[in-house]
Amino acid sequence: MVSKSSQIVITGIGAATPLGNSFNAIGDALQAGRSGIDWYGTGTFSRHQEHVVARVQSVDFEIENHVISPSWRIEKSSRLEQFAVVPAAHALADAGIQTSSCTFDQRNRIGFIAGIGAEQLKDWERDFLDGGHDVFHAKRRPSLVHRAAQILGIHGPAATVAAACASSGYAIALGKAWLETGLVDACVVGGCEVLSPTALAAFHNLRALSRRDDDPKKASRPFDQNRDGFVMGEGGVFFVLERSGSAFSRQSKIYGALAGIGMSSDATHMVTPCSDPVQASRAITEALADARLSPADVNYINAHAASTPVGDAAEAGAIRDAFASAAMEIPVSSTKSMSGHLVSAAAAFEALACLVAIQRNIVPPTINLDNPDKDCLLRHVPHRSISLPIHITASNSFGFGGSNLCLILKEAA
Amino acid sequence: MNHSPSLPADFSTLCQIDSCAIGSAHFSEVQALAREKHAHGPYSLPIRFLRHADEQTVIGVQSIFKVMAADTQEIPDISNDAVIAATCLAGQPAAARTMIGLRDKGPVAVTPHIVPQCSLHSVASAVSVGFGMHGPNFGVGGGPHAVSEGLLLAITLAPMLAITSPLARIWLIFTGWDQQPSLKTNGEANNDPLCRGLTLLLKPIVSHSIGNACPQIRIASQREFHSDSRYPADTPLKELCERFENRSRTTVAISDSCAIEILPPVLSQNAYSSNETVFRKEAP
Repeated sequence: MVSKSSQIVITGIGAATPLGNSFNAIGDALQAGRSGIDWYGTGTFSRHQEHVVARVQSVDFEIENHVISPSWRIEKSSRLEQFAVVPAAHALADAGIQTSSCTFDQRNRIGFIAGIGAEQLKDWERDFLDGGHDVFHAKRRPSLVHRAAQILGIHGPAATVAAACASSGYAIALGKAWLETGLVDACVVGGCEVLSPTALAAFHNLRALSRRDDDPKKASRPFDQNRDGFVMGEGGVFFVLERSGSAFSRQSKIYGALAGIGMSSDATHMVTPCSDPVQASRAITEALADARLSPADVNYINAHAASTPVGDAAEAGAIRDAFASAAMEIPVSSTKSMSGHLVSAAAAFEALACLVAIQRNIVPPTINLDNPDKDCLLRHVPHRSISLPIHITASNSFGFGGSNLCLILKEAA
Repeated sequence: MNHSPSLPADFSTLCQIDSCAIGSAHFSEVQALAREKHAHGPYSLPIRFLRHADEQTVIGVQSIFKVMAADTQEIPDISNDAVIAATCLAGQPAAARTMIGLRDKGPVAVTPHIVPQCSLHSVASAVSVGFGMHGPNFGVGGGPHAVSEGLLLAITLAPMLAITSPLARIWLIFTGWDQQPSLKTNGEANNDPLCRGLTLLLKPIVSHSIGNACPQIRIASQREFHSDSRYPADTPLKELCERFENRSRTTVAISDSCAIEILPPVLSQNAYSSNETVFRKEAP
């Protein structure tokens, strides 16, 4: 085991999101309370259909310190592949890691974990919509994380993990463990998600999506008494994690430290979160214990709150349970009010929002929180961001299948 | 970065294999299997729990019941256990039916079960929910590297679980088809492939050795590879199952310089008969 005194720190960030493609652009949007949600036509098979979604407007293919293999053809890649490769490449470049100049042994010591919930389903769907038949005769081709690792010159261990809407949080947590156990010296972690007709239809038919189609920017309203479901989003967010010792010796810029993680399962239902907050609360408590912190040490909580009637209330209960007397003192917001729900990439996006909070000493708001639900009683930050010293943050993520995760991010020592 | 070429010399966690079992059924048999009553000892699944489940979930659950039958722990408390499911190309038949419905009838025909029941997390979540396991649950892999990814992430999770729940174990479930289903454009099957499930019940062991002869999985460095037992990172599940059937020491590559070494346990007949459908035998 690597010494506990060695922190796991974030030295690189890459993103393609509905709120922008850089740490600063996303930070500006979160600080200003700007929504990335709008209508988007997703008609298939000649049927016109519009959805309220949070879509990535463009992907920034200009990457400093080129780390992408020249043989990679953007025009032949799927949107999901772009949301993995490009942000991961930006994260590596941001961390100052140029894999093309690394030795064989050095490349073997870089890992890659991606949170992707339904990669094959998205691939089959894309092919089918293009007139293909892959879904009828599925082929064994390497999954995206392995293809992306090859494109990026990463030769260390690679894995895809999925815990539904908490997927990228699990990727971050397991990457931390790879560094702590000495398996790798650096690890690219995060997740990606793409809007798809099947997913939109499935979530709609599950009655999980907001039906507020007349006013997209008001559709995602976590903790509000008039919330009626989430707004699906897409994008990719990846980080480079390193041990603090190597980051300091490389004189890397450090966005923050990944101080603690907690994971648990409700084990009650495949879709609906448990109304008893005990397991969600346990994930938060374990994360605080892992970080050796007490509830009152936390300055900001980024809630999972997706704007669903059941989920938001359940999470509010878990926060009150885990943070006890400190719960009403700590500012809480849900950035999904602006970003929409990035599903597999949501936890990584929200970890990024926590780093924005730490770097800028602000709490991003929950926009559209006009009438807080009495079942969601917390110290909300409605409509506008506020300025506060932020040293330690907690970010919750919950997924279908009862997966609970909490990440503690803090200023690097 | 500290670019040390040596491999995790200080990777002090390994997992003892407390029990393991293999389940399997042909494509044409899975639906009937899903409708069976599923129970063993104190554990049972609610009636119709698997009615919307993917084929790989059904076979994964079958292998879990076999492990439960073989587990020697006297009073097993599984409430804090973790679940990792490493699946390969799961959900294909349901995806095909969904695409056909979307094309022929529009979005209204898309089943809401496709996301919770046919995604990468679905097998792990079904096991966690079905058996009341409150430790972490997540899916791994999804593609041809599922075997190596599952083994690696079990070893990764082990030290974390050992701290938060010292008595908890990890249910590591591998599922996959020997040959992917070949489907007609109306969704009917052209072939009848075998779906396999292999479940390992793992106990994390931190900071001390349990001896080389004890059934276990552990991280190995390149210099420890045995050339005759080394398998690539995209080893099919069928080959891993055959190694377990023969109780053969096996090394599965993780990267160019790192591998997982597996020493399978001796399996009881009850736990291990690849075509046995234990649901029918064990249902009261």
